[in-house]
Amino acid sequence: MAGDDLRTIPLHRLSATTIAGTVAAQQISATEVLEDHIDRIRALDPALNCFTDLCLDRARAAAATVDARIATGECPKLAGVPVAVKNLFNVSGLKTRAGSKILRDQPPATHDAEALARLVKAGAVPLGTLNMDEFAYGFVTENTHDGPTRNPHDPTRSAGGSSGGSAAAVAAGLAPLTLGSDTNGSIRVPAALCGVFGLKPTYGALPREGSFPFVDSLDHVGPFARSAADLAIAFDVMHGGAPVAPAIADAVPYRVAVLDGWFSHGATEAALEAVDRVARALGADTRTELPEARRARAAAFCITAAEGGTLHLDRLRTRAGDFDPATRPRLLAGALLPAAIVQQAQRFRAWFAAEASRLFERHDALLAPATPCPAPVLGQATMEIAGETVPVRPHLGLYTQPISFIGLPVVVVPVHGVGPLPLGVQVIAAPGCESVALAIAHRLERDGICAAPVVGPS
Amino acid sequence: MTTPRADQSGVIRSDVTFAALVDAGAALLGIPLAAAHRGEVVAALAMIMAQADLILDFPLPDVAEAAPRFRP
Repeated sequence: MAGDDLRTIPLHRLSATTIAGTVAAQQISATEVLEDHIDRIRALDPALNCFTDLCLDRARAAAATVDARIATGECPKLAGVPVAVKNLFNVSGLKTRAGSKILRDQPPATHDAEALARLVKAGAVPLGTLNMDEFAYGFVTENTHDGPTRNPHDPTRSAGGSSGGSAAAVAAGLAPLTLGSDTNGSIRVPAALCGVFGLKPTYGALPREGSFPFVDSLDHVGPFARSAADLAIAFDVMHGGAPVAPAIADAVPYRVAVLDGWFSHGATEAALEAVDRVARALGADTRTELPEARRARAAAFCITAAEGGTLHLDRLRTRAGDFDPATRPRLLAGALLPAAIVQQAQRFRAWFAAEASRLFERHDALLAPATPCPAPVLGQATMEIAGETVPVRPHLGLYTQPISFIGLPVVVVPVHGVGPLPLGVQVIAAPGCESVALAIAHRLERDGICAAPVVGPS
Repeated sequence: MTTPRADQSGVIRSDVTFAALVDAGAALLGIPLAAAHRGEVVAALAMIMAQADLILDFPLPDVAEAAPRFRP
């Protein structure tokens, strides 16, 4: 971006990549970028409720350190990029709430979570922690203890969850880059409902050390941003393997198909229209089916309840009354689930993964809606889809759960204009092929099909 | 109340079954379940079991191995 533009565009509207480039070129300082974002947070967050804790003294010191590093000739990849994390990531000096009341009795973290530590080492500036559903068990970020996070596109609506604070903060320009976690859709659902880009990487690709667990079998961590390039650079910094960012603009032709069957059942017309728009732009005129996706969703549902319930068993024994009423019944029921169900779900998992791998013999990427509907109104319990009344909360994860169940990498791309609210499309790739999903997302952005403009006043 | 249903083996299940499992399971695991929480746990268990049926009904070959840690 030219220097002239920087004088007219508010700093909180810049992408992470642009911030890093201009800070590294000493056109703006990390401190200026930080102060602009602090002003933005102070102006908007009292209404949105994205942040649960801020660490501004640390942020100011970190920004000054970045500026000093650049003055000595260093060129960190994320120079001066403000970053915030879901409050299940350890941030040194802050309490790791994981959305709960109970964990607030613990002392503050003494080290950053590994994923955050890698971002900070690359020059990112940590702002604080973000709201979530209690223990990441939800799709709406209506947290009893910390209040709901409001959707920047319509504050009467949910930001999605469980990483709702992470998605809404990016949408509102409070941070260009945030981290969340995704066990059943907790990055992809809020990214879609808030109209931003989100990456759920391959299972195991990014380090979970220093993040509070939920379901060991299914937990992933990943970034939110307002462009595919920003997701790619964040992934590269946290992953540490062969970089994907340099290749996302390559003109490689990809074989893309639309997932049929389960992934169109129960969706609103707008959600299907979003997929159609993306498919048309990519020339994806093939439809294919991932067999037994409904059972995959069911298996993920059961494993989640059982592993989550087991993880929290001691707390359920001693402090059940301190849990969020939205979380407690499912964790308690999960702890009581017969082992045969969980074991059978895990056996089904291997079967289902083999089916998915067959699809990737013929296709490089698969498309599906991220959610069946746009953001529900806060507190909404049920909704009508195709004449059927369905419960809102579990319904939001219908299309994300079968995919995370087998650890496939997904980029959610935001689609605006199919209705008054944004929707998201999952671009699903084979294991280890984040670069494919990111390249397709980048292409959609370049062609004007997908975008994540900052919402709210300049 | 959920509608009683027959599973594959013809056994009739209902909220009574779920409530019995909740009571027995909580006792077995040493969870002092508050009376105010019991009903919501029974309802949650019924919801999870409706999903579990989809797994239990699916025939898998004997050689199908579990994937508790999925390796892509």
